Amino acid sequence: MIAIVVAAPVAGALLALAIPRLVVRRRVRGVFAVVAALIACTVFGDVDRLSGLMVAIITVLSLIATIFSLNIVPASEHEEILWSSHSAYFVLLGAFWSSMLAAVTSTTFIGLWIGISVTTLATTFLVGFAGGKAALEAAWKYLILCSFGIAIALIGILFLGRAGMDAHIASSSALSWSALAAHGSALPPALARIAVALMLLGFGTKAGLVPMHSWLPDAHSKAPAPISALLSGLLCSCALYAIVRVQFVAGAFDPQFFNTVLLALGSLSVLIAGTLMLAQSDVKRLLAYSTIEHVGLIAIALGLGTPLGLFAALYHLINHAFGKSFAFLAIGLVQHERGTTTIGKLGGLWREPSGRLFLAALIGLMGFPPFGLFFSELLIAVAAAAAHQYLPLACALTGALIGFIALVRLSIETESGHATVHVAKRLPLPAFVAAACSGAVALLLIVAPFISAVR
Amino acid sequence: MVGGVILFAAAMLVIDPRFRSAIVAYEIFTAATLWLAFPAGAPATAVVFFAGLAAVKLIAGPSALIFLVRRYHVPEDLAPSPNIVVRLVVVAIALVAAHEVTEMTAFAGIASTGIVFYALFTSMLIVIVFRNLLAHAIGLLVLGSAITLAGAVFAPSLPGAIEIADTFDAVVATIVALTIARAILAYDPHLDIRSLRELRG
Repeated sequence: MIAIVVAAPVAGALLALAIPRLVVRRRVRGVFAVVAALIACTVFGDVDRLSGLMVAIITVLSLIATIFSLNIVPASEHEEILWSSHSAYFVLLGAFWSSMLAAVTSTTFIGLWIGISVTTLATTFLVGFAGGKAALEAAWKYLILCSFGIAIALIGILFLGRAGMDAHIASSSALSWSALAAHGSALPPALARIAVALMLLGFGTKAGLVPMHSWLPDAHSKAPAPISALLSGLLCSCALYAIVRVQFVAGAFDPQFFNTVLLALGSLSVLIAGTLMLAQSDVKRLLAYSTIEHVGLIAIALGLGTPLGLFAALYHLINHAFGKSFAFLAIGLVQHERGTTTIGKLGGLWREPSGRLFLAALIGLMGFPPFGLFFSELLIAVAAAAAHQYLPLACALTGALIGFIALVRLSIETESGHATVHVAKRLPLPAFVAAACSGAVALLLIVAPFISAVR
Repeated sequence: MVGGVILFAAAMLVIDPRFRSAIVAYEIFTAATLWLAFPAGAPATAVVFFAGLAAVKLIAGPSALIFLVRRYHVPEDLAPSPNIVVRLVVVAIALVAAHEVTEMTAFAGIASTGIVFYALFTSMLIVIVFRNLLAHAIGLLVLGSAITLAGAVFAPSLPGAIEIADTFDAVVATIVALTIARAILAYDPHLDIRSLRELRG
């Protein structure tokens, strides 16, 4: 059943190619995306709760991004480029969706690695979809850096497999995290420590943790808005999910080492990304740095190594996935209307529905109630204080405060004043509704901890 | 003997800036790593499977590179940033670093660890040392072969899924990279990484 769930999105996108009429093909793509999402609902009994949670996030956000893309089809200014057709776009989007599902439904590190590795190959062309020198530069950096990063993770997996076999785990299950965790005390600690460090380095590159983050602002800012939403909301989340699985194994033999590295990388990410947010002149690039900041916050929460820290990390991961996707889709609507994302050219957004939607997204990212990010950031702070990790807590608060200032400045500069660019195109209602849906979920997530507490 | 061939071929990949030499060095390097990784005594199906992967590694990636160079007349100079003396020093440092790794307690009792780390270091050095984007694509291929070697040395009995994943990831990533490089040719016929500096900050 899992194989069908994984294959459905890309199979649907490929099947739709057989339909000759463009208008019909567009509708069929939407229907197939809904069918793929419904099929994904059948997987929950076959995977554990964490994988189930990731499947749910991936399915909902990918469906929203597909519906958004059907109504505001990203246009390439460079028609001569091989991959700039709409058909290629939707097939690659389907492949991206499928590869993420493959990553989170696997029970072994090699399955997880294959899924995450395929996301790089599927999304490179999506990052460079617009064509032009800057988009190609972003695609090139993304491919090379992430390919090397993910290769380092594979070397770590090989070392962990060796450590597993040294601990007398059968070779067929030496890459299963449950088998490795069960034999944690028997793993040779020196080799296993190097293995998990390499895996953190590799998956951390994909998550965008500083100092392995340099591809992220370029890729997220140059990709079409729905792809930026998925890269920021889902791809980083999948990489963080991989880190959670590695932490599960590391916790079985030496939790202190892994958690200390996570805390250091997380603190560095929050501080540097928060500071760089102040220096940006492009909205999407600023949002990309905000992603690194939130990834850093999640890494800090995970690095605390406590149940409350893990809960706060996962809750923040969900909130960020929906909150950031909402922001990228909203700025995608603004870009559709105004034709730019340069901060200096985006005055008076408040007067338009897309601008008001973008403001709502920014308020959510700032961490204001009633958005879920308010509560999850508070939980991370409480968890850090409870674990007596005051230095990472100080870094998190400082970085979050600087990021908050950058977002307040962005909202003032873009929402107030008068429009300096003429509104070029009409806003398609389904795309607006799709963006608003991600915002509504981000808003509703405030109740998630209470439901969890009641259960 | 085979270890010596790997050392020499990997050094050539970092030192020699000519595209043709790099392709020849890659073929020698990959053939040697495959020789070491060959599953001796394995059932016939495993040998056939291994031969298939070897063919993909030795033919698909280099063919794509040669096609791009011939079809679009890309300059065959890989444009090294540092001079030859620095490149020789860098290779020597990689050798020393790989030797130091073998002294770590984590790798005690595992044979050929030094060669694996030297191969991994050189694959990364290729990307750092050369400015031509073709060299970066070659670096991806070399990294794929180095991981095959790492798999054979560290975990020879792990499932074959690792080798399939590694091989196809390296080859597909190289083909994707060359497709992007083909589009970049419209902006920079020399495929120099220095032309990709628009995105900063």
